[in-house]
Amino acid sequence: MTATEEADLFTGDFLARLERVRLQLRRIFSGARRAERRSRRTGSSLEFADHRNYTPGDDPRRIDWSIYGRLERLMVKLYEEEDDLDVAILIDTSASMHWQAPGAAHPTKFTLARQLAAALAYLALHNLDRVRVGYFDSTLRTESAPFRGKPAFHDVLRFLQTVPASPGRTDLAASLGRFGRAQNRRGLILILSDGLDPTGFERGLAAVTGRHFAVHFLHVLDPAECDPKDRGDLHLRDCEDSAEMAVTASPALLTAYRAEVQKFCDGAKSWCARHEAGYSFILSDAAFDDVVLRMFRQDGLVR
Amino acid sequence: MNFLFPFTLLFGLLAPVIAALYLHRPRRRNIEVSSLRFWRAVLEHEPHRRFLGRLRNPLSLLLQLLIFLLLLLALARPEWGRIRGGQSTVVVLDARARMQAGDTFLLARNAALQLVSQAGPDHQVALLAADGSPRILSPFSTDSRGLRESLDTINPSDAGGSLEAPLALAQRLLKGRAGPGKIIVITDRPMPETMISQTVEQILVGTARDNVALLALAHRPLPASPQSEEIFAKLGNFSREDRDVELELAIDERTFDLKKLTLPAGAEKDFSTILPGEIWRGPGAGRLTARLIGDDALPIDNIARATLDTNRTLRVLLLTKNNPFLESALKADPGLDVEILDPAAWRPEMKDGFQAIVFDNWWPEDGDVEDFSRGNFFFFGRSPFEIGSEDVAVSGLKVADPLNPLLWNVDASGLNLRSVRPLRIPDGWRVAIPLEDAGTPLLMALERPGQARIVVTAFRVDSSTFPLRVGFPLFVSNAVHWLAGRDPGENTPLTAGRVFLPAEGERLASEPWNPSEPEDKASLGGTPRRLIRNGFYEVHPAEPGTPSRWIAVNTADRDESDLRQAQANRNTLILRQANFSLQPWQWLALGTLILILIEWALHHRRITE
Repeated sequence: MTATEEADLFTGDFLARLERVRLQLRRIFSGARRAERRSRRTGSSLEFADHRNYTPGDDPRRIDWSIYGRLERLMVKLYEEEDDLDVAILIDTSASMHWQAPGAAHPTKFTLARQLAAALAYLALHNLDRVRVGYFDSTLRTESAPFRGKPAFHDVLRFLQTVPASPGRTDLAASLGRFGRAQNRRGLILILSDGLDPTGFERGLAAVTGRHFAVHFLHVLDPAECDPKDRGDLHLRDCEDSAEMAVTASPALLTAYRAEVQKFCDGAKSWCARHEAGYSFILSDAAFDDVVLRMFRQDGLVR
Repeated sequence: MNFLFPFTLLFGLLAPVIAALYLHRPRRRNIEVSSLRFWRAVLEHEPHRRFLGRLRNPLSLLLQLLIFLLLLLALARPEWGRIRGGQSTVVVLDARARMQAGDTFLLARNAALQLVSQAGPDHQVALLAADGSPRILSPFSTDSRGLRESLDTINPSDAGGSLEAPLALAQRLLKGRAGPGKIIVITDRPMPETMISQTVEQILVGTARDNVALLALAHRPLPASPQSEEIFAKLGNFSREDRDVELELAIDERTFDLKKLTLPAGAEKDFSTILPGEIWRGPGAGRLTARLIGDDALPIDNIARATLDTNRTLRVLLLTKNNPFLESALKADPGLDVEILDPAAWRPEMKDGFQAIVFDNWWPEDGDVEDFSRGNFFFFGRSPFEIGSEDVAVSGLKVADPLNPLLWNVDASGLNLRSVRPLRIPDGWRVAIPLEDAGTPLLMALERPGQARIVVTAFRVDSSTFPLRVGFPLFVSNAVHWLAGRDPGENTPLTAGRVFLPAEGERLASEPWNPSEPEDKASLGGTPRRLIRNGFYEVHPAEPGTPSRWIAVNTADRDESDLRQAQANRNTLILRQANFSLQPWQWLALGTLILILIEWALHHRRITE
């Protein structure tokens, strides 16, 4: 993402609208620092959580005297602890993410993924969450240091501009598994990928959902992948592994192709639902604002 | 269903080639995709698409094969059902010389064009041209365009003749055809009632016109002066009033006589004049032309042509002791170079230097008949073919063959023969007997083709009244010319429409000689040919270096020149009937075109590839 693109996308108005939304979690994690996100621990926030019996050493200011008046028992109030959250944004940088149909005017999947990553990072930083950004293809190529606080947003953008060279094949299992194993704290993982892993996306996503991370899969596809326009006798070449294939793209075959793509997307969505992961389907020609402010809200990623 | 060109269906064997071309798929577009997983999944889940894919697109292949099939069927020209049950019409277009008068032939052709435009799937039309003999311009056809093109090739000839033969041919063409048949004759005057029937109709397009014509032109050596020629011409005035005409006579395009004549209305008049020998003998070609000056309705009969033999002479040896009749008769023919010897001077080798040898009541008796098996000999009186040594009286002379070349222009009837010596008919010879006496030959013409010709008379010159007759020198001339292999009538003009048969090795020019382009070389042919154009035709001889001879061709037909009977009937204007029905092949071609458009549209929309 170039500086020009950055300036075009993240206008003051857009950032103001971003500040009105927050990342939404399906589960609650314990943070390391105080922040604005609910925690499993009880703490000193204003949100009431529970009562328990008074034990010596408790702060007498937390005794609930109204209960003592009714029950003659000393009970202290428990309040929810508000912690920060580890948010990891992992961007697929494989060759398929850079693919684009000849003559297309919209951005590539990779470009859109980085723009979305920046927006999501901004949301997380605004909530005082800890944000890390990483690139992966057949493995975890690079991973940023944790960012915290809104001033770190420019560091996030700078990191997003450092695109790894020579994109390779997609291997979700290897790259996400490596990321999951390296994490001490559980948190939210946002995966921006086309999911075009020859071995399937399931193993890769399972590598992080199985370690009790909250996962949201942002499935980015190009319109030309969903509805190819080329017809007739074609000699196809896979941009990742250079595998070749001769097909005759008749209308019937293309109909079957579209059905296959739909089946793939439906499979990803239902898999995420079964594993309590979030899912968003994004076409690379979609309007950026619309994706962030409307689609993410519909998919429960923000509120 | 019948096919006019069924062999074109053999091209159907190429249909597998079209399918093979589809399967071949020589050029594919290279496309880079993000992943092959969906394509693989489609083809794994639906393997039948691999086969369909190999057919590129079944619809496209089907359309192409259908287009190919329809194209083949159109080329095969199918005719279903109607060809045997439809109407058949034979249009006989009169193309005789009379049709050249004014715009008669143009009207006739227009009428024919309107008739042939009615040809269609249920109406077949054949075209005949009648220019003295029938000529098929087009067999039965439903293709009006082809029929019209056939009509464009026809022009009226210079020949006359009857319509009987064309009508007979038209009847034969109609015979055996299913469905109603009709013959329509387009001519300039009503046909005889005997030719009209339920199946024969006539369209008259003529207009009665006045005409003056040269009906005949002939010549002969002047008896009193054989070096000169006597010219005969017959003129006819086929008009309703008297006509003053000028007759111009020319030899080799040089006018030598010009006469003003008055021809009474409807009368014919003979004309003769003398062509002195000093005018025409010499290096010229001998093309004699008679021309009526002025225009009239039919120009082609205003000129008559004849040919004179200007420079060819025959060397003749006369072996006689003294016979002034025979000597005079031979010398009277300017075409003969006569040498006279006493019989004692005869040597057998002399026959090689002469085209004919005349023995006057003498023959070398030490010889044999076979000695005369090569060469041309005329035995007048004594001969090797006589029987006995006594003369006998003649009981009854009979002209057995008046058309024999020896008797050309000769009246032998009433000939008084005092005595004759009987002749025997030899074996191994082709024999003609123009004169006989109770079955006994008096005059024999013997021939061994290509070897020898012999003329034998049973009578002597001095034992008959023959030398006193006008026909005697003609008979002698005829005999000598026949011996030399020349037809006495070869210079007689031909009538247009007759067939000319060139002699062996001769070649006839394909077109008449054109005075305005005398050096123009027409193509030559050695086959018999029907001459339908008036003019002089050059005949090239078989032997190189020998001068060409000329054939004159004239219309010379009273019926052709008399245009007073021409008339038109009310059927002349035939309204063109609207005929929008398409032939089967046209429907197929239309279907092919529609399929091509569909295929193109599908391809253009990339529905097919």
